[in-house]
Amino acid sequence: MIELSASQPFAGLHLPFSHGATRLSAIVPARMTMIAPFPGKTEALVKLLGGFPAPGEVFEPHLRLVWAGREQALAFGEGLPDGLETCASLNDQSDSWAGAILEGEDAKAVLARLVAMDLRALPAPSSARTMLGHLPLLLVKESEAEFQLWTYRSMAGSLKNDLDQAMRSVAARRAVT
Amino acid sequence: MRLPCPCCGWRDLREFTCIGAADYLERPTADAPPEAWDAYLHVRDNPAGPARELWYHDPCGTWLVVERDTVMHAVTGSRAVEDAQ
Repeated sequence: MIELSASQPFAGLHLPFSHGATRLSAIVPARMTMIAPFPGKTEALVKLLGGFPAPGEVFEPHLRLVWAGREQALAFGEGLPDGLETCASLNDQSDSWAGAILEGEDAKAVLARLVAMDLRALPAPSSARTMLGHLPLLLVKESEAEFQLWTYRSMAGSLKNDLDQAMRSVAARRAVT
Repeated sequence: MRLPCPCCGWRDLREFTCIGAADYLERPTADAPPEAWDAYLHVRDNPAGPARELWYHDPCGTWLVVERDTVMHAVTGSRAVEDAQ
C-alpha cells in the first residue's frame, strides 16, 4: 500500500526569508471553500452565511469570507452552515492554492514592481483579483504593511522567485539611498 | 491603456483579453437563414470612431462590453455583459 504524505505548497522553497525591511512567509494551508451562489439564491445564502462579500470585500461574520472573483467568495476555515449546498456551488480548494504573507514597511514598494494596481488606495482589509508579474493573483490587503498573496499551487515557485527578486531590488535600493 | 471593469475598477490592459466586436453577443436563432449566420461569424464593421467591443477581465472572470473610440483611443464606458443584456 502506498503511503501518501501531505506536503506544503512552498516545500523546498526556503520560506520564510527576509530582504531588507520585508519578510516573506508561507501560510499553512487550512480549509478553503470556493462559494458561488446559484442564480436567485443569494438572499438565502446571505441568511445562512451572515453576508456575502461584494467586490473587494473581506469580512468575518462567522467564517472569514474573501471576495475572490465575480460572484465568488473564498471561505477560510471549517464549519460551513448546513444547507449551504442548496443555494451555492461549494468547491473545496484547500490544496489548490499557495498562500504567502509579505510584510514590512517596504511591502508596498516590493509589490509596486510586480502588481499593476495602486495598493495604497485599497482599504484594509480588502481583496483584489489581479496579476503578480505573469501569475494570477488573489491579493488580500490586511494592513498597510501586510499582504496575503494567493496564487495557484503549481505556481508557488514562480511566486517565490518573482518576490525574491523584487525584495532584493528594493532592499538594495534602500541600502544606497 | 486602462479599462474599467464593473467589478474591479480601472485596471491595466494586461489583465484583459479582447474578444472582438460586441456583435458576438447577438447570436442568430437556430432557424435563422445561412446569411444571418455568415454575418454573425464573419462580417464586421471596421469603425473609425466609437466602437462597442467584447472584452474579458481574466482575473475576476467578468465579460464586459467596452465602448471606446478607435480614433481617439478614449474609453468611454463599460458594462458587464450580464447587465448590458
